[in-house]
Amino acid sequence: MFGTFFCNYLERKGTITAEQKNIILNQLKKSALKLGFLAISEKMLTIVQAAEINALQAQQDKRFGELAIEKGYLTEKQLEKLLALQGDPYFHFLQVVTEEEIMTEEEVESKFYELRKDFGFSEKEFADLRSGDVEKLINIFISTGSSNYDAYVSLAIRNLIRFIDKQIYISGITKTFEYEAKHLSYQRITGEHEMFLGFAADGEELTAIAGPYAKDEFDTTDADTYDAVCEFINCINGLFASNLSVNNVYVDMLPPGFGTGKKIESDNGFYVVTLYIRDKKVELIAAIDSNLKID
Amino acid sequence: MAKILIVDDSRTSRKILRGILEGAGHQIVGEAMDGEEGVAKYAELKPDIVTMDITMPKLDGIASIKKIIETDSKAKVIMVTAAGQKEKVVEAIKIGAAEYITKPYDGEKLLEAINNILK
Repeated sequence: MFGTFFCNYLERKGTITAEQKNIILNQLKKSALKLGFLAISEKMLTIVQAAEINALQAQQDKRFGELAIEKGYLTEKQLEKLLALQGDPYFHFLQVVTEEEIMTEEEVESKFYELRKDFGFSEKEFADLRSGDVEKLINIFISTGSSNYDAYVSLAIRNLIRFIDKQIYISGITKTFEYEAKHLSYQRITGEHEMFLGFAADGEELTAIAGPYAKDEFDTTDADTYDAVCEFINCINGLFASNLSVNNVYVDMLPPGFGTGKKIESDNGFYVVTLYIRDKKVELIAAIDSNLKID
Repeated sequence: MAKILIVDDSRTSRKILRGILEGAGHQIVGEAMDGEEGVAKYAELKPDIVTMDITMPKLDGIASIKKIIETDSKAKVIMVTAAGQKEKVVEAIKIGAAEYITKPYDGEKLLEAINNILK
């Protein structure tokens, strides 16, 4: 998720092309962060030393860290630090873009700090972003000021990541009072809370949710596509209802609905989260006790 | 092997269930898109087991189970629910549902429920 977020940012800034973005995301999926690269980045090894260890590794069945200690290039403590950093998505990103000769280390560093300024991230948010921890990343973007909304929207995003695509990109969240959806799948919840969850798109983008969820191929937004997205929404709502019931709050799910040219209105307002799933723009619409009307 | 009727308003849900059940060697004797159709197809097809969604238009899962059990007290119905519908599950079990499973589907749990009934 970190890789997707940073790549999309760089593409929007014109730093990388769409083609380069695809190369990077592909390589991030395929490759692992190498200890040698990390040791050089952290200035614990020189390029020559790392190359020497790599050459030794080709002759001996030993790990990189083991050989580096044997050669006296790394201490046990340094190795421990490097191993702890091996899950760091920033370094992995850095390795891929430098190996693919798309950006230099200095360029990546400078753009990463530019990103912080552009989004106005606090130090903690910036550290959370860099950690690549999905929960923390969701919390950075989904902050409505209402714990119910945060929990509802975050659950939807976590399930998108779990069932649909690990690399979704959250572009932003806005509060609005009316919304026009060209294509919409949704479900309402009634009971102690009146809730609404929907996914909307302008073209064929709902297929990006329907396909992975139903494990089928969808080319156009037809009744089957709407249905698959509704089933996914039903799962999210079920999980949220289950969470509410732990606190003795009971709700009931209504049969899902879908259609084209739907207008959603509410005097109290509701939230729209703009997402990109495999580069397809989809909007998640969430409402809680909003007296929401849909035509 | 059991003869199974799937009652669910969602085509996606029916397709996923069919895949799991046929993959385990069971026979899908019919599908129904709502409770009313499910009750009618139960009378017509006499399946060994029915998988019944709870939230459906026309006649919901609970009302459909009631109607099926009224006509056949030995009917074996597996409730299919989204998570968070505990009250409805309890209600369904009280009126005679044999088992229940929750969405998202876990193939192993579904087949375990079928096997429990067939025992």
